[in-house]
Amino acid sequence: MIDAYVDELARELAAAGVRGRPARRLLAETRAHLAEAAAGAGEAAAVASFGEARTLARLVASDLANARTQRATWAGIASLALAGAVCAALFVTLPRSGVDVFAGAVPGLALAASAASVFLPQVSFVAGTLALVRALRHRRATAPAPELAVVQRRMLVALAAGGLTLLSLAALAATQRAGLPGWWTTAAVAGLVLLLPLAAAAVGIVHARRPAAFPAGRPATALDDVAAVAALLPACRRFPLPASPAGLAAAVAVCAGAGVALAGVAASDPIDGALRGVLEAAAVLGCYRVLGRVLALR
Amino acid sequence: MSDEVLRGHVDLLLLAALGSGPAHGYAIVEAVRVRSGGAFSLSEGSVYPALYRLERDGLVVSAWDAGRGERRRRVYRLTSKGRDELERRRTAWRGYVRAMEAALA
Repeated sequence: MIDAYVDELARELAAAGVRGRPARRLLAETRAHLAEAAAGAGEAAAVASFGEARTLARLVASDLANARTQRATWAGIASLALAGAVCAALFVTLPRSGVDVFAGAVPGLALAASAASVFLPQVSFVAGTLALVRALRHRRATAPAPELAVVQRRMLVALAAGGLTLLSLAALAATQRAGLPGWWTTAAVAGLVLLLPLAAAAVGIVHARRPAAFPAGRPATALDDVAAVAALLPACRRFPLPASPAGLAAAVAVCAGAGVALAGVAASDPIDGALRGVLEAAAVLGCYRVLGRVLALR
Repeated sequence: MSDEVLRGHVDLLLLAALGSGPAHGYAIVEAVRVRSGGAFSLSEGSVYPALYRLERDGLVVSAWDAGRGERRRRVYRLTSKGRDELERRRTAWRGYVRAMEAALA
């Protein structure tokens, strides 16, 4: 009877995505536990007291999925912070006079790389921040499957956008090397080495998706994330939160667009600033439209 | 006591059982049952995920003992962080019980 139970538990663990060392350890401990309990109460009573194999397997899978997701999220945030610091340094030190986005051996590549190096870091920052907020909200308790899936998807988007930002800066360096200082192009290409920690973090997230967390259900939206952050910041409590995810996206688009436009005015170029502000607001709304479901914004 | 009520306190019960000294899973379950006078009967399998969680949090450590085959057991013991956490939770629990008793009197 003990053998049959351990076999059943092994099948349930495999079905829940728990394999390798965690599965072997639990099975060994289960066998030892049941053998000891059966010596006093008999095998049937020992197995009955141990609990249903499927319930136990799902409990272990949920715990494992949560622990791996938390760990992979922090690893992802650390690698994004490193990549972000390098990208910011490259962006700040880029001599604008040396860039002609309409020139280059491949038509349109410099323009695409330039646009990507502006918008993708913002996507990465927002997705990474949202992943971190959701992970922090669940750090003390076991989160259900849809919540873990949200954290994992947000991290994957953040890591992908971060990696593409590094690639876009390297592409910009390659197409514009005639007009850019040698140290900048070398630094932009060398920055590609940061793709390795980003890729390692992405592998960690994919690994965290294997154990199946339970129970199922619908995830919370970005409004819940904002409400959780606002609850921690007394200054935010005075402002009413948007009533819908679309309202939140519109508010963020207006704020981001206004910020960019004001930066343009401060740089004594109001027309260019206004144009950039409109583009920024449009990009925010476009991202909401394209990535809204993936990032659980709506 | 119902499983629902007990579930929220499993970690504290496990830490308290290990407060008396290192033990393997079955011995921990037995310790909880005996110390509670039979009132707390944990679902035995669910003890292991809880122990793994406590281990990930650095509150306990574990190692296989010298036995062989079915006699080979994994023994858990509190870390110093686990001992501190046990004291903190014990204090909080006793305060809660005092307040409840006063409120219900």
